[in-house]
Amino acid sequence: MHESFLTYRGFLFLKVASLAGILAVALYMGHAPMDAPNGGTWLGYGLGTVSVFLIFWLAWFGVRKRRYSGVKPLRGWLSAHVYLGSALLVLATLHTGFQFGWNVHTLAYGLMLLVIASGIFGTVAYARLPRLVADNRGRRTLEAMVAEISSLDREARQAAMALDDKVNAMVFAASEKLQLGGSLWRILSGREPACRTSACIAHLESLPTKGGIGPEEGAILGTLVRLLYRKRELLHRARLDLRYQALLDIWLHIHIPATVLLIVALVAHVVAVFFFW
Amino acid sequence: MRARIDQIVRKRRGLADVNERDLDTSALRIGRSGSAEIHLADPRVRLDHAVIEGEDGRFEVRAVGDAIILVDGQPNSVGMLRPGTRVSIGPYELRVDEPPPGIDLLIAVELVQPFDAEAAAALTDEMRVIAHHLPGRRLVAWTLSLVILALFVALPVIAALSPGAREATKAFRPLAAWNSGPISNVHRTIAENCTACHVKPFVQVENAQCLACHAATRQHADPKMFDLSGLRCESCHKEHNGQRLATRADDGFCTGCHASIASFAPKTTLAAVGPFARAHPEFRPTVVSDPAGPVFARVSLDAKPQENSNLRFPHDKHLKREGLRTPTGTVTLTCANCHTPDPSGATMMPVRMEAQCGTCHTLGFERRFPDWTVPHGEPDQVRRTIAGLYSQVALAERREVDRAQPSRQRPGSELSSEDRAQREADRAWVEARTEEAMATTFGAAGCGLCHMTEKKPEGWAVKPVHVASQFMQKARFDHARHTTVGCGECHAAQTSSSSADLLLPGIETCRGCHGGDKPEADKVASTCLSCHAFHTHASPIRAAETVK
Repeated sequence: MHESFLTYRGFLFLKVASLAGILAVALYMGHAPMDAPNGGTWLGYGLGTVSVFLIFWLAWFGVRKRRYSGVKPLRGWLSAHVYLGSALLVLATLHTGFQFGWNVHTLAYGLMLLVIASGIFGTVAYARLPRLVADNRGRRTLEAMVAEISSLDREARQAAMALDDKVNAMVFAASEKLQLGGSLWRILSGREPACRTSACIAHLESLPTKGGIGPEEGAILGTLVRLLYRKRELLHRARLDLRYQALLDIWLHIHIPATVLLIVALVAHVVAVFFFW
Repeated sequence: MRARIDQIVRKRRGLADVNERDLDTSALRIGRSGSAEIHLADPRVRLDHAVIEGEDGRFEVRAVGDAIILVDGQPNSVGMLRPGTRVSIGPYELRVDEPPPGIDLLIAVELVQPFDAEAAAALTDEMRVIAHHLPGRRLVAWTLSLVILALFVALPVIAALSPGAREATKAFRPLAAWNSGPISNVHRTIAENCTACHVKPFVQVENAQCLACHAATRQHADPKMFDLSGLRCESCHKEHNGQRLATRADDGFCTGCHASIASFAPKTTLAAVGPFARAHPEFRPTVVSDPAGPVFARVSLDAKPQENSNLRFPHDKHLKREGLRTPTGTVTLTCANCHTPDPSGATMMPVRMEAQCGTCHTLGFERRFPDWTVPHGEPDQVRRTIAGLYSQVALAERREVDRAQPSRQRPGSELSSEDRAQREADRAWVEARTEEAMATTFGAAGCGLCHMTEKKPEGWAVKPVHVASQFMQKARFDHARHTTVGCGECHAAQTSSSSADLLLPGIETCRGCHGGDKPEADKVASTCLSCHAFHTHASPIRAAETVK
């Protein structure tokens, strides 16, 4: 049976991370410094040191992942990365002693939150989306879907050639441009509010069913509607496919630059703390 | 009309195929419709788009309905057709050429804007690769990294090292970004001046910086008895934690030494003290152990110490609920009639004879002269007062006699033997009355009611009074902060019949409300410092002693 990075070795790293988190919380609860809990008490320094090493180790995963020389799969590494990265949330938050402000220290913490949040997003995406992608595609590729849309367009244009101008114009408008993609938000939404194909279908559905339409024209209309239904279905699936691909991709565009910034801010944080010790 | 239609189909490299058709018709209908004379098979053309009509070499093109046609580039619904005229209909261009003989109208039709269905259906990277929609990851990371390094490392470091740069960037406050938390209220005047305390980079704040202002601060323990070297002010006085300067005030800080104080200071007389709720010893008030000395001693309330004040005062008799008969009627006394707080409210003012006792206990001694009183003072003073009063009586009687039998005694002449005898008799009378009155005054019904008096060969004496102004020398108790509690809840005065009773509450009374620094749910939190002050030693802290 396939073992995902989440269940790796019977949740080994989930257990390790939970233990670390519980230990940190227990120490924090029993910790009663003379001042408020903060990063400068013995526990604060301890949690901070552990956190900073953890951050560098977690970031090392990004470097490790790009080395293709090894043949060993990185599933174990990924599992540890995900769970220990989540534990960092507990360790670093307790390190702050819940003292936040407009300063370089909270900047580093905020960037860490951004990295962890995007990482959690990525984890959820990788755990859930591949199945949705497969279900949505149904053994077709996106290219195949687009090719089919294209041929449907051709057929629809042909069918509409003999129909009245309004219908023809709408069919043409719908086929003139492949309404896939667009802005990043459009892609991520998986919707097309101004879908011309849907508009075309809506218009055809609104036409009176009787009167003024000859049997020949009626047959053409029927064919056209079937073509457009099929096209709409394909478009919907293609948009969903793009949405899923984008979701699988986008978090890394935050996760990685934010990690770089986190490391820089972390250095600034450490310098600031010990420069004015 | 006889019309010729040349349908031009461009091929690659500019070659053109011309499909020529001749028609004889009254009008040329142009449109997508299969029945149109000029059939334009493109979805961008209307079913019936335009029509060309005319005769005798005069032809015009006319748009059908609201269809759009361009005649020589101008949108017109009607246009004359002459050789050279170009009519745009959708993606097509119709060009009127010079007709050959036998033909009225020659029109060349060409699709000038072919519809690229392939392009329309192409799946572009724009759709699939979201990176196209985002700024480059490296660009973002590098740019913002530089911003962070500049704002939060370079600028503050420069400001920290160079006073000139600090002054120049004052408005911008680059060092504010390094501040780990708000500075305490007492240090706010130097809050913007980081280097007032943080002198050397990467070195913890040194005591010398604290002592630069706090020069008068004294040692917190005897430096001869304890090794205080290496102690840092900052270890216990923490900054950057908000409005209040965090100072170590937890019980553990005190009990760390005081729970086993003998191991730190073998000669100490202090008892070991643990957490208030369970390991604080019973209070040890300072009492007079021997009134003769007097000798003072700290005695645990467990040992039931007695007061040796040399006073007699039964609280119960004074606090009778039915009241007391006094010169001004029946009065029910309360604690406050005699015990008044000092201006701070913390402790009670001493009870004074004149102000408190004297309102009832008048110091009269002579039944015949109830307004005669003696002062509340030394026996000699009392005796002089009494003798003086009786002498007045004797002298007054003598004056009465003299008025009846005036005798002219000249100054300097000797008294007659008769007069001398009379004077001796008067003196003896005064002496006898005075002795009687002294015995009454200093006896059990007079001073002796409250004081320990005794008759010595040289006269009456009152034993010195020892009343403590403060029993708890090592702690402070603030009455003002306990006004919601009745006096009787702590002091059992109502039932005390002897002034030997020490009316102090024991520690269990305090524990009824106070629960130490980690109290139970229904107890008031109180630390060691709620009652005790942190110790200070006479010698001042000198930087050299504490800084390595």
